[in-house]
Amino acid sequence: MMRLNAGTSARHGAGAQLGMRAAFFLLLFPGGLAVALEAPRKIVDYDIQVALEPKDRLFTGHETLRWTNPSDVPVSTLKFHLYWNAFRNSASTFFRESGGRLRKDRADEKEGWGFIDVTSMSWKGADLKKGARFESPDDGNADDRTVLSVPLPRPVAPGETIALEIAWKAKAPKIFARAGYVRDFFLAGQWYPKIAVLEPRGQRRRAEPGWNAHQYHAFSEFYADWGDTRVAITVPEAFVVASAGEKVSETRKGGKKTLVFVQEQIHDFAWSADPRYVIRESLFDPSRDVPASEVERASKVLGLSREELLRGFHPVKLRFYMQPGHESQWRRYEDAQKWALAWLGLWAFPYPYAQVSVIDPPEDGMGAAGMEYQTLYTAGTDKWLGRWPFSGFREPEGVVIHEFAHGYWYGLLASNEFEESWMDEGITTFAETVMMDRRYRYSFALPFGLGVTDEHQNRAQALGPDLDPIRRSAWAFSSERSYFKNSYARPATVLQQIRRLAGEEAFWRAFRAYALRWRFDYPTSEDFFDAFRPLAIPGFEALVAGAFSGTSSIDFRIVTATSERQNLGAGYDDAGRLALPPDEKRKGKKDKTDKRGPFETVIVVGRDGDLVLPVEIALTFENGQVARTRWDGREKWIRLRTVYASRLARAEVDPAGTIVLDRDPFNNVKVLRAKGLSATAKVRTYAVHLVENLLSLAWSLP
Amino acid sequence: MRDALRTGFRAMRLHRRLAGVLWLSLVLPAGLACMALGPLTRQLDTSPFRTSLVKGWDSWALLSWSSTRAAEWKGALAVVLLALLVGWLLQLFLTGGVLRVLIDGGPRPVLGRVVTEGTALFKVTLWATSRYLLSLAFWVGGVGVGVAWLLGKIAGKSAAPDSFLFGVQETWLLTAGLLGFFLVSLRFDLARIALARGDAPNARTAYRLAGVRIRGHRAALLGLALFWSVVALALGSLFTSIGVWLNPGSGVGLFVLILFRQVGFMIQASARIGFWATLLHIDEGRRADLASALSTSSCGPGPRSP
Repeated sequence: MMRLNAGTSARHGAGAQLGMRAAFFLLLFPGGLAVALEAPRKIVDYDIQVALEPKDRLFTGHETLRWTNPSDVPVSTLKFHLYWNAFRNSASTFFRESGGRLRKDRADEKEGWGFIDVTSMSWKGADLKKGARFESPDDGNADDRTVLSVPLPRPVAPGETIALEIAWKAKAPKIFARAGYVRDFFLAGQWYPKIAVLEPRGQRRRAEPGWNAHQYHAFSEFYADWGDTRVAITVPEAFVVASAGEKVSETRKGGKKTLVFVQEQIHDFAWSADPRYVIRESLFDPSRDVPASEVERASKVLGLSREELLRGFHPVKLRFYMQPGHESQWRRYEDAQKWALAWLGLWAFPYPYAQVSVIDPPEDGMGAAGMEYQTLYTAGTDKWLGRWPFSGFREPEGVVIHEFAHGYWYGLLASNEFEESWMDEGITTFAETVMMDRRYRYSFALPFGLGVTDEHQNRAQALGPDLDPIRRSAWAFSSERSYFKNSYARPATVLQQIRRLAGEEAFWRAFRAYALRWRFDYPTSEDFFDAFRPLAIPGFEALVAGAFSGTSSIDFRIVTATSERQNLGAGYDDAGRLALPPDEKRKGKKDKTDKRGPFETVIVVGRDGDLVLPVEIALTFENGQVARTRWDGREKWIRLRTVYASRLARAEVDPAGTIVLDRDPFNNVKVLRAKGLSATAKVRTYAVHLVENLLSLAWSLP
Repeated sequence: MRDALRTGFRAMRLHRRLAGVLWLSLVLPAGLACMALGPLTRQLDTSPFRTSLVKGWDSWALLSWSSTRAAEWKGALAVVLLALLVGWLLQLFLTGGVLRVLIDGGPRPVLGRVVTEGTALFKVTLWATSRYLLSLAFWVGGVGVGVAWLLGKIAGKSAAPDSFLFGVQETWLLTAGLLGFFLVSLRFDLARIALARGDAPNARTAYRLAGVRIRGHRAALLGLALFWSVVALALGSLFTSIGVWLNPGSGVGLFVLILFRQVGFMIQASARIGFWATLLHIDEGRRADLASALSTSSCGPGPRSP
């Protein structure tokens, strides 16, 4: 059962309750934005019975769907997602977009096809199936069977709740993308006829009510309405079932067992079955598992007391469904899971549900790895990652943290992954980098204490030119690479950029405020931006326009830097006398260069790219003094001139590394005088030793 | 066994100059790599990462460097790979001479002798190397990887990744692969010894002789090879770890680091001399049993220095 924050109550029906937190947000956003919810608006309840025949990979199901019209207009047509039809044949939109391959996996085009067929659909005895037809709202693909439009015999009035009876048969596809089967392993995600979202006026800033129904795409599948779900799963007795929700009963009959799971207040329900699962259980105990150091940090940054921060935390049951051969790695999953629960609980809000189920997919079914569903997700590891020297690769921890974080940014804040994939993947990746680097320091730990951080990996991926903005429908990117870059690494890096421009306190307070405001609701990109706009972050609107809605880039560089003795006295004076430049006067003397000032220093700083951000410029002089100035970065270049007693040693733009979007940090510095050990010499020495090490390895073998 | 190892350790101590000659096969390619890395690393001093890199490791410096200078990195890596190839060929070249000096002893200068003898043996050593690479492809590639692939095929797509056959496949790949590699390499080593001794006029005969000499003594030879591998790896790890730990922050520190690492490589080269001396000792013992095989060969493949 779902856990709610202390002092609040669950609420059913479409109305929203204004609590203390909502009042706070009204104060924060006096523009009168919608209020924060303490529980989701319940739109759709499912009561599902499904039986799995593993041999034929067949799911036979029946559901009673209770749906409430949330809009203020009558609705005469319903829209459904039949997403396993994406695997029906090679003509589906999913297959056309993916080419039958996703990540590193390829579809089995002989035996791997799957489908979902509605065998009956009725409302109060009226057959709805007769008039149903498939639609392709995104690409007009007449062969796609993933969106079903069902006309009703009479319109559903605003606020009216209807109950539909739906029966269906589905065949699981062989896993290469997200869900399906491999051998006896089944992952059921997007597996039942699911009603699309009817957006009322105002939801996601919509002017008029209407359906938001998308086809199943190569890179997107999530956007749904909230409600309660009860699922009775019948499988052969040998199978272990992992499911979203809490198991409320189990019965056995004729070599089969039926397990009933219930989860309130969710918008997605997935489950998995495998006779080979090895179950490991644990408990997230906030008194033990929320690190005191993180509470202290959060308290300082967010300006909240320890008690305020820990309010709403509660024990969470953790279940890990491990593959044989991976059992030893469950502790790695557990550590990452507990840390994610603690971190997200502090910096966003405490996890509201009572349990988390973590699926460890088999190595030959890695197409199902790294998938997010509510209260259940799939992780992913390899037996080699549990062994030296590969144990320093934090891939298992990274997947756990990433997928669990999805439970917040697609789950608890039900963003539209189809239309704004960055709001799910990008914010999740950002949160993942912070969590990974804080907990593990390096996501790739190399021998001898070296390694690479998660944030830096994402920043490196975000460098380079773009054809697409971040805000774009998931199926509309120019390439798979562009989708991944602009949905994951680039938005995560842009958020890091906002964080650095805003400062820690302002950023995290706004970040937390956004999470609390849009919990159980449907945020858009603009809602996210609105959470930060009151902070008046310098360059923020430029980032919104240039990075989220455009393809702007930025590269600061020191164009020139000179520092010479001021030459004011040379030439003819008013009396007609010729004076030599100071350095000429010293010719023939032992110390030819006059070290006495003043020196005239001139530097030109340039900005390539059309993203305008403010930046700091630092001039370090030979006497150790540092002069700093800020440049608003509006012009393409700026010339700085100064006369000072000491000569310039080093000019640097963005000395603190604030501009994380800077495409080439290597041109940010001009060094006129350098002291101390050369980095070049040091790095080259270690590189040459590496070459010698590799060669001497031949001496270590016969 | 004990005598052979004692001989090896004695050779480590006595033949420091020979180790120095072997060490050259590291230093010369390393010099080439150093030059190739020059233009690439030069940017670091005029970058924002100078201070952090002098202090130690900087994750972002490495990633942004490789991302923004990908073309230069590729060029430098190509030269580094070339340097590794040159180094490997140099090792092949020098090892022939080193073996002859170890067999015959003789006057200084050691470097001159190694070069002369190495030159005389180089052509035939290259033939032996070709044979070695073919054997390696057959035993490690064909028997090791090939059988593992076959096991995977037998297991089929329906087998779980932790099923018995996949377990056997993994074990096979590791043990048969390593065993194949060690045995093929040992035979190559013994063939080179046969060439250096002048027991075989060509690579083919040398390989045949090596095959005869290895027969019945595989376990002992494997044990010795394993021992010297462990010694060399331990030495390499030790010096590398301390080298990274030193993390110099000044020019003097850097000089100390370079000196320390080269001392380490010299000691590793000495361990290599020890390995060869051990093999020579065993080979010497086996020669008595091989009169019949020797009768088919005539003289060595090239001129020998006085």
